[in-house]
Order: sequence, then C-alpha cells, then structure tokens
Amino acid sequence: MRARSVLIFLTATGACAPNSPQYFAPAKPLEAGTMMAAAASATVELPLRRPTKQEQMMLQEERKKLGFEVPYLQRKDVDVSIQYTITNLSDMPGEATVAINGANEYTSYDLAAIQMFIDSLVLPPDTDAPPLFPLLQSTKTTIKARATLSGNIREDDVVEAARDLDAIGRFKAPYLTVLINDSSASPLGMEMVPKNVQLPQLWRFIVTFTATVPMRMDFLVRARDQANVLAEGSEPIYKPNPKPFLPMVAGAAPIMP
Amino acid sequence: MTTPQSISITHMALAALVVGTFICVWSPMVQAQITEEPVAPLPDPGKFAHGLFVDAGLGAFVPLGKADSVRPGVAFGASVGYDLIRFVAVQLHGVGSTHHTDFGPAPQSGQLLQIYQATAELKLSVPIRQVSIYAFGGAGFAFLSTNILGTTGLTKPGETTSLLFAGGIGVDYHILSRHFSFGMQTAFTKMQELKTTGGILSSLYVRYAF
Repeated sequence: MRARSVLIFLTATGACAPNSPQYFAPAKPLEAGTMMAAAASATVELPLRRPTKQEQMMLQEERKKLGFEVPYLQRKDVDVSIQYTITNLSDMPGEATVAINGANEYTSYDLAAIQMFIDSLVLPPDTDAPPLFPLLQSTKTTIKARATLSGNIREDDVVEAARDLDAIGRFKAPYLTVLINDSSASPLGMEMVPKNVQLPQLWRFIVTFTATVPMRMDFLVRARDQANVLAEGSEPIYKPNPKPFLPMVAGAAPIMP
Repeated sequence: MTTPQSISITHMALAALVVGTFICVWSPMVQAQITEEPVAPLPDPGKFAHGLFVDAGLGAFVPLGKADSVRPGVAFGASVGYDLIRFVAVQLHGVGSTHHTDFGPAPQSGQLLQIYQATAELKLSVPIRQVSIYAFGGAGFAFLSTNILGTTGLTKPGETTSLLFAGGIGVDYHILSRHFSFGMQTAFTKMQELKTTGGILSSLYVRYAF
C-alpha cells in the first residue's frame, strides 16, 4: 500500500515533464533599424537526439506502408512557439516586423538564399523577379519611442508554417499560393499533399527582424517535447541535411560564368 | 368463594409490600455531586508513537536575491523519516513548487517554472509535553522543470539540476492522538548552480507516526 502511494506520487510528479517546455535563445539579441542594417537575422536550431535503430525501423515500415517519406521529427512530436520583445532604442516612433523562415528534415526555406539564387538568374525581358514571402510574418507594428512590445508566434502559427513548407518542399505545391493562403481556412495549393501525410516539424528557425528606427529584439524559441526527441546534455545530436527550396522562374536561365 | 390457593397469593403480595417498604425506609441516603472540572490527563510524550513517520505539507517557496524574478510559488512537500531516539530523527524530504517568471520586458517573462527539491536531513528535536521544537539540515538535489533560467544567466545554459543545501527550524504540536501531530516549519535552501542568494520555504504540515 505504501509502495503504491509512493508510485502514484512519483507518477504525478513525472507527468508534468512532457509538457515542460525547453527554451532556446540566439547567441545575442537582434539589432535592426540602424544605419548599418535595416534588418537582422538569427538562426536557432532544435537539438534533436539521434533516432534509435528501433525508431529507424519503424519509420521505414511506415514509409513502405504509406508510399512516401515519413519524417523523424513530426509535427505532433514537438510544439513550438516563439516569444519575443522588441525595444525601441530611439527617441522616435518606428515600425517593426518579425518574419520566420526555417527548415524541416527535407526542405530549407531561407529567404536570403532564395534571393541570392534569383539574383543569379537572367530573367526574360519584361519579367519581374518573383515576389518572395516568408513562411510567417507578423503585421507591421508601430512602437513608440523608448517603448517595449511583447509578442508571440503561437504554436498554431508554426504548424501553419510547417504545413506550407512541407507542401512546397516535398509535394511541389505552388509556393506563392500556399504561403498566401491560410491552409486551415483554404486548402488552395494543397491538392498534391496526401491526406494521411505525417507532417514534419520545423527544427531550424530563422528569425528576421526589420525596423525603421534603431530597435532591439530579444526572442526565445519555446519547444514542448511530447515525444522525447530533443537531445539532453551530451547526447549525440541528429542534424538533418535539408535541400534548399529554389523557386521555378519560367524562362529564366542561370548567369554563365 | 375463598380457596386455600387464593389465600396463599394474597399473603405473598402482602409480604412483598412489607419488605419493599422496609427497604425504602431504612436504606441509607446516597448523594453524588461534581464540584469541580475533571483534571485533564497530562499528555505523556512517552506514549506518542515514534519510529517511522510520514508528513505532508502545504506552503510557499520564495526565491531571494537575483532569483526574485522567479515569483513566490505554492509548495507541496512530503517527508518520510525515522526517529532514531526521542530527540534525533533522519528523514527524506521532497518539495515541489510552481512559479511564475517576471524578468520585466524580456521574452522570459510570463513563463511557468516548477522547482523540485529532494534532501536527506538530520532532525534534532526538543520535546516539551505535546510541543516539540526542532531544527533540521541536510543536502540533496534540486531539479528545475525547464531551462529558462539558463537563458537569463541565473544558471549555466541548459542546466536544470543542482546540488542543494537546506536547513531550518519548526514547531510540532502533538494532539492527544497517539499518531497525529501538526506543525509549521521554515527552511532556507541554497541551490549551488543557481547564481543567487537562495530561497525561503515555509509550510504547514500534518505528521503521522506509525
């Protein structure tokens, strides 16, 4: 009876653990809106532990059954949100925007790399470069002089970004259509995505901060590990090697060296 | 018509009446009266159960110093111990507390953090009838539910466990039950990995000795 009571107590205490978030901060805060840079970016990666042999076998079996790739880090495994505060360092009000890009196991969506790729193309005459959108973007906010604003990229926002990236990466969905539409409201562009897809979660987050006057942004990536996939301590880390997303530009040709 | 049987019954009833009257008249008068409150029995601490004991308590844990960004939180505690002799006991003590963070205008604000503390302690008591005053101290481990303090510099990055030292005082009141007592205690705890003064843990508890 006593042993049972102790067991119940330990279970109740341990039950809190899966929902206890882990926080990942960038090396330093982002500073933007200065003469040097209107925008600043920082990358935060979730430290994934290596899958066990048993997990690898299970993923392979599931892959054979479904007929398409099954990710190791799935959306349901980790819930991610991003907490941030923006401080206006100047004596004037200014506007600030936060954009989130990143990568899942299969595809990397890095706006700077995509822009470099487009810049390396010779576009047909009378053709503009395709517009680029981040996976997630906050609305432009005005912040008073010396004021601080707190914000949050919610877990469901990150889910939407994960869904969009998987669609444009693995299933070649039209990226502008997918990024503009909220897929929970309109499945436009998602026609190629199987209904029983196991959605990969983002593991790399590229946070880009843009400001019109000098401002500082502090942020934290908050991850709730539901499946014990985040590495702890000195556990060996699994680092996926995703392919960069590069948009198709009709009629464009690479600049020949 | 009078029969010999009816005469016999009449004589017996008459005899019973005479004897009853005699008893009532000649019995000595008895009087009883409570003139003062009965004296409360003095508790004999020797009769209180001792040996294996458990207790459970509810209180608050208040981080001090730089860690006051971790706001005071509700704490639940439990102990299991053994009275070696009347004055000395050893116990294992576990406490869990839940806190809200407030780092001002920083993304670390508004988060929840649980602190679990587990210590092995030596307890020295001075029993005075039903009351016992005691002091205790020990060492153990503390566990943080998240690594948020590591992002603020209060611990090393990613650090969620720490060596813990604890010491405190308390008072225990034994009711006239052989097994139960109630009490309150206050302890100072210091987590080695947490770059701050320490914290105060206060609680009310109920104790059961087997």
